[in-house]
Amino acid sequence: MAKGFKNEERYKIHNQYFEGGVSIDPKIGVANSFYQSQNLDFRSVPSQLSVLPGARTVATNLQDNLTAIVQDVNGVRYGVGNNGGVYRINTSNVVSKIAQLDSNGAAGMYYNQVTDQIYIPSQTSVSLYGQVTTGNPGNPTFRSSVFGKSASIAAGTNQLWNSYTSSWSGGARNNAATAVNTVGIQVGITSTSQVTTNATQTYTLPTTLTESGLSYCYFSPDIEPFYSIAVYVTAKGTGNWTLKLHDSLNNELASVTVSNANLTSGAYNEFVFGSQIRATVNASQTGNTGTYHFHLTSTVADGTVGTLNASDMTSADFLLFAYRLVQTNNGWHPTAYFDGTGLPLLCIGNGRWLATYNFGNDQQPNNAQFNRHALQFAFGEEVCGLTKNNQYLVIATEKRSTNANRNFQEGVLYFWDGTTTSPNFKIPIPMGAPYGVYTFNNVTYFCVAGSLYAWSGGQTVIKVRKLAYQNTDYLNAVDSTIVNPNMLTSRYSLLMIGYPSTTTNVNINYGVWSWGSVELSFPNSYGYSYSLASNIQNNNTSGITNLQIGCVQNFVDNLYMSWSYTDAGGITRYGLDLVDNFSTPATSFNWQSLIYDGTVIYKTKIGTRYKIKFNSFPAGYTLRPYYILDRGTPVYASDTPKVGDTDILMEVTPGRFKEIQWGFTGTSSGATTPLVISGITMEIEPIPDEVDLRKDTQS
Amino acid sequence: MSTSDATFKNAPNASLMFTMYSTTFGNGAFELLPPATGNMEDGFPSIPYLSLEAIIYQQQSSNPLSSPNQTIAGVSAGQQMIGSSQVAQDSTTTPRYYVGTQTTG
Repeated sequence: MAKGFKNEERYKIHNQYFEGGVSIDPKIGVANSFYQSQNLDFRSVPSQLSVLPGARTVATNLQDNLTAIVQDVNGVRYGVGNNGGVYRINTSNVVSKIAQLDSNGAAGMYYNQVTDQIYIPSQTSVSLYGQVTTGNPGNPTFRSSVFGKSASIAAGTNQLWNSYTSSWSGGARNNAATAVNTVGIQVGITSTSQVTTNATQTYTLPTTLTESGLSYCYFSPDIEPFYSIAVYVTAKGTGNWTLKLHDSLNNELASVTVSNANLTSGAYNEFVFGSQIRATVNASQTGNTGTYHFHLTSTVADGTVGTLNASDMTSADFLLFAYRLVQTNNGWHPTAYFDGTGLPLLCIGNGRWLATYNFGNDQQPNNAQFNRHALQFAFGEEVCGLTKNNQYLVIATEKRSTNANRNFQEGVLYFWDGTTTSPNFKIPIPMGAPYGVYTFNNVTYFCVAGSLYAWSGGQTVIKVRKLAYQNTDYLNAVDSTIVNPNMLTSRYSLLMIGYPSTTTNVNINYGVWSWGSVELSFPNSYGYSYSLASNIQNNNTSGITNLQIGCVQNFVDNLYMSWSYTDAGGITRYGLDLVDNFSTPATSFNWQSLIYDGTVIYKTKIGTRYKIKFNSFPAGYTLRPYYILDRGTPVYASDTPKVGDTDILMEVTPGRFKEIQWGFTGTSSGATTPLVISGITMEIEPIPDEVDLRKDTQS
Repeated sequence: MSTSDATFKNAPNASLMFTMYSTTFGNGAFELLPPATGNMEDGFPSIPYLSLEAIIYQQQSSNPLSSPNQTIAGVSAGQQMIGSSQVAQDSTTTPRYYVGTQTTG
């Protein structure tokens, strides 16, 4: 308890218990908290600090920063990288590249133990790799973009508008909706060769575009984003053909020209758009004010397109092809297995949609089996994470700007039980994007604007604590901090938080932070537990820029951390780090106390001695105690303990202060056992005979 | 800080269940730090520990989320078909009042 100034006994400010973890304030926190620690275990045995195992780099032969890692039943692990590389991590942690996706990776990967396939989304499609443990062991097949483009077979595109029934119940342009494969199965229409035209009439293409009468073909799509429109060309004539896609306001969305030499008469000819065309789907439809329409013109008015009605372009035979996945601004298609319907579903974040695949046909799923638009979210939202909580799939969405200097501040958590056509409920997250959503102990955690949040029922989310910053005042830079979808994991009953993936905030240290308690009697606490093997924690360290952590994934005692950075020579380096039971102690560690002022900051005190008590000092370590007076420069001890020592004592001189803080830094090299610190003590002379209130300059 | 003081400040969080906390208004039971007494402390000041689990438990019990609308437990998928019609006729069997889908005439 408090002591009066007249008490001449020297104070011993003693840190012997550490279960409070890192405090957010430099002076005050829960009992037995401290200001900072790195790579130290303060939780397993709360009465001591011990050096945690350090990460070691197991691979630098990557061309990617891994953003998702899964394991097959034989223990082989697979990762997908941000640049689209697919890697195999064998049981000896030897990493080899096994495939390249058609585009960048999308932070999603799922292993189905029954089909023995790994499902890997890229930017616009899904590829398969397998069988990985059965079939032809050691030689799985990579099937690139198996779930690629497919054609709409919905009435809004496949059939003509029927003005009598006010529905798309007119004649079918072709047999796409009923086409079956050789064994009678209705598979996805991925090629025009699967379709037979119903066109018996023709429409002669004009040379100029007009928005009138029967001069264009309108439709109401059920899928997006558009990949192409394939038109049945009856006779190509002699001119070059141009297809222009318009919305209902006649805004031009795309224009594609195919030269006459590349056209084929009596066949479908595909007009492939240069990039994905985003669209609204299943919109309310009223006949000839279709949500979208396209025109066809030719440089010579002698080409004809197949139609159902003579000289009627609205009845043209065409197929609308769409990508399976949306190219998102955030570049992500997170994956999760979910069976809320009672049936297995692979759920894939798909921009403002949730896509689901029911494992119905790995070769050529139709649009019902691979449902691009099982759920829809608000325009502009993009899924940034998936997890599960009780019977719900939790879908985190953000809005991602294409300008890193002008970020949105919007996010939503959607909850879906799998049985409805819209989410069961949602919780807006106006604080920002809910990143890294992950459920641990049935509490869903996520990172928003520098803080850790949690939800486990109820109407509101709970702000657990500051992760890195409460605000970015005076940063003198635009903060853009992103956490990838697979950055949170659990290890030894603790929540591990890889933070951040990328940031422009120079005040944030990259690494893996931990949250939790050793058992219920001790508090949940927070600390920096694992740095990258290189111990690079910030940009601009040794000229390093663009530091990124791709994902953090734990398998029992194996913790993987993937990373990339651009070195001083401008070369981008990629690697994979691992912490496991064969790891040696972290090569660098540190700890710092709260600032002590005796709750009488106005009064001068004197620090006299500083002692760190530890178990027999192991070989391979250095330990440098230091103290800081009045927030000045650290004063380090001149020596480090010798092997077998059990303490180190440091004189504090000159020791007059209003505030004092102490700590230590350490290194290890070749050490095999952890350094265990059992007490940290600062001795204070309260100097009760001095006048308390004096000018600081008089002290 | 004496042991009894520490125990008091870190009272079992079950008791915090019964104090004021809401995620809207925060911790109403938070111990405000009094002005310094002028006595010099021989340790660090501390604040009460508030367990996340206690908050979650309290929130779930006092602020529950509405359940999805389900009239039959476990079943929320299905459809209701209305395909019939009702016709009121006068003494000459001429339809005078029609409810439903008129398919003829």
